[in-house]
Amino acid sequence: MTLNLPDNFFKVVTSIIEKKINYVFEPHHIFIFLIFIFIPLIIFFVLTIIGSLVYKRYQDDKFVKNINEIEEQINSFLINIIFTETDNTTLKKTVKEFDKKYINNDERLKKYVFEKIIHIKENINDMYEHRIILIYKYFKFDKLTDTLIRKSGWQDKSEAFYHYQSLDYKIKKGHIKRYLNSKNPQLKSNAIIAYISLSDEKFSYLDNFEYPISKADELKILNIIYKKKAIMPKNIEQWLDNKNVSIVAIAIKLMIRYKHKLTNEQTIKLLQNEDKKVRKETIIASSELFNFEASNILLEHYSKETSHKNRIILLNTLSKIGNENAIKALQQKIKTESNIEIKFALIHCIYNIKKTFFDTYKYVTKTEEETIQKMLLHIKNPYLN
Amino acid sequence: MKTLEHIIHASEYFFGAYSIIYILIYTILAIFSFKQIKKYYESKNFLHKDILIRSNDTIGVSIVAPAFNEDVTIVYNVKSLLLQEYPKYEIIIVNDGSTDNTLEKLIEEFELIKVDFYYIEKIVTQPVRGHYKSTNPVYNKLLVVDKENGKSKADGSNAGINSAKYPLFICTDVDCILRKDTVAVLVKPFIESTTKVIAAGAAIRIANSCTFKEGMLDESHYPTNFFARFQELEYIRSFLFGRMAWSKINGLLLVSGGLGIFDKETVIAVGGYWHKSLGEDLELITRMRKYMHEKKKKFIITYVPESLCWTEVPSTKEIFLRQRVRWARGLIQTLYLHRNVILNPKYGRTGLVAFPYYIACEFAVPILEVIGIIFIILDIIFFGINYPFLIAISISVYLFYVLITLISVSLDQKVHKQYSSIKEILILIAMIFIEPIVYHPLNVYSSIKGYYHFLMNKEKKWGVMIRKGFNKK
Repeated sequence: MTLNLPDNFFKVVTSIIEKKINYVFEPHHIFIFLIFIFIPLIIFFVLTIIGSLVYKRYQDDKFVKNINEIEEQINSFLINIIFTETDNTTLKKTVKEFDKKYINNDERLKKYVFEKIIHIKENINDMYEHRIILIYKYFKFDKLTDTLIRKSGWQDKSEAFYHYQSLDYKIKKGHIKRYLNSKNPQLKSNAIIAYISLSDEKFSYLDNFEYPISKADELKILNIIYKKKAIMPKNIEQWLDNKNVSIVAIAIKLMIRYKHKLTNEQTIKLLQNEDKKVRKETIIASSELFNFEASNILLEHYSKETSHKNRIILLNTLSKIGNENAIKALQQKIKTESNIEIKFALIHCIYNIKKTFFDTYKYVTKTEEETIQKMLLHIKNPYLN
Repeated sequence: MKTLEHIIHASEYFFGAYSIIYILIYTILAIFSFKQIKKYYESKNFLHKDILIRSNDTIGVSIVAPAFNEDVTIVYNVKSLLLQEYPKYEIIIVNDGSTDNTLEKLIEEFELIKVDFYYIEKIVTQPVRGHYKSTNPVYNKLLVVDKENGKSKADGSNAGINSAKYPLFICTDVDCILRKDTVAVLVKPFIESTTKVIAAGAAIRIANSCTFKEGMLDESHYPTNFFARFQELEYIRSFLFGRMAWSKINGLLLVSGGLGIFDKETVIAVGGYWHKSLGEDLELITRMRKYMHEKKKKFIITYVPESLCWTEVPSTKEIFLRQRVRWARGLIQTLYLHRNVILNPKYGRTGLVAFPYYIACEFAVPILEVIGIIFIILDIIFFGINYPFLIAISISVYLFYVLITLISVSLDQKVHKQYSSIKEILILIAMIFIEPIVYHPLNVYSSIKGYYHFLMNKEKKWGVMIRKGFNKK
């Protein structure tokens, strides 16, 4: 079926639009719009913003003044109830009295006290865990956490996870579990970190972890290890065979942390990994753990390494753990290496292994001699290394 | 006369349409800015900066600060820079051929000796005379590069970049006071993002009336100086409104020379700062964006809405105008130099969004304002004018301008709570109403002068910024 339009249809439509535009943009109508709509609207917004700006500042100043007046009382009260042994009933009563006297349903103040408790907990680490959780409950901060976790925003839920994580509230691990596979990457990440932190076997969750772990998550996981003094996963060697390269990289970092050397077989296998980050961590592990046995393996890997950065790290590693074999192999490369940064690392490496090497080294050109001598002056300078 | 009447009539339509588009763009930017700031603060604890401060596995950062004739403040400022809380960083001060005692003061105070630094000139600069390190282990993070004057901050920064050992570098001015967690805050986007971040910036504040204690900000005050007062408003609007909005759509064309963090590899690949540029920060980012588009690599340039840096701004008319003329000249120079980017789909949103915006809403505005005034005068003289309409439209534009600044100040107060009292907030609000009448014309004048200097190819002059130093407690 075709739509039959009259011949002058478009002409009529165009003329209507033209008339409308002319009507709207007729100076008198613009004037009316400005005077009766635009200007009053802007004035309304301007006055509202000024009002809220001054009011908010007034409220903030009042809060700060209030805090300054009672900060000492809050501090001494918290220290007292955390570190002084009392029975639960007395503790509950004391908290209630303090709450009534100072906080008195002021949400901001309540949050302030809660943050103080978290701060104290983080500084005393694993001590007084049970007591702090009791105080948290008696202040009814648990209700605040529950409200947050029920909210729809990922940042509210993450804040709740942070509360559990900071207080080491292990029993609440179950509340986090359902978010471990969240589609929101930030919520998922925060849930994983909190879950690991609250687990007794800190890293078992990562055994079958399939997703890439970001640099941020990696740092957060390592932070948990440092803070919680977690024991090394028993199956760490299986992690090295994990298909997920992020897990492999974390496993190597953990091995460094726990001073657990990689075997030669593991080093060889890891250096064959396609992921340059895994190769980098493997090289760093040999350096950090002074794995002298890996020297020849690294040397063999040098020519195969495609990443310039990894080559430099490898040379820096060899400068710590290398031997005569390294010198024999590397001296051939001095003349052929065109990348100046790698060459510098090469000279550094050879000099560190054998301080007298360049005393007898035969330079091909004057320029080469000058370049290497300049590098050596840098390397030998105690203030630059 | 008939032709003139037609021109003026057509121009009325043009200015009407332009104003509507301008207001729409700024309304959209306001929404973007609000959303981006909200997003930042919601995600702030995704990776807490304390984790970075404690970690040995974080990325290393070199702080590069060129200095030219800064002997009044250099020692205090370097000590302040050395207070950064970050596990892996170095401070590189580049003495750019100072004719005063800048280098001598550094040598004396920090117990420096000349070292045989192996300098690789990845970016070509004026000759480097030497590198200095401290014999005192307390200052082992400090490296001083002494070079011949390159008549530009760009040349000094490039020598610092060549000497930097870490993969990221922060470029700042030696007279800037940085918050002690600046490195940790600026590094975060590089660690959090899965897409390659090539640069990031943060809000800069005016130090003129603030007080500093042991190298750190102690009390924030609204400036008392006439020029500084308006510049403060301008900075708030620029950093919290403009740049956060552009950050939201990854269209940032400028990371301020006062404080920015960069991926060293990308900066070296594009040849570093261009020493002939009068807006080297804008020009560098443009080149970095072009490079990434040409290589078809995904990238992010982002902004952090936190105030991390305090700097002294011009407090006299002469220095102020000179600075603004230079900025305007830098803008037109960069837009002209990279004119092949404009509306070029090859350069993605740089060519299709950021550059057209810069031309239409940054570069063209002062010119259009002057043309508008000329037409109004012609209208009054030859054809008579509809005064009620003129007044209504002028009030509308004025109020819209005020509203934009107020929104920026409101966002700023929401996140920063600057200034020590309500009284200062009230003065700031009063200045918002005065700014379009008193300060804005000066900016228009200096922009036009800058464009004129560019077109006439006048010799570039940097001039000397006279520093009073910071108010210490």
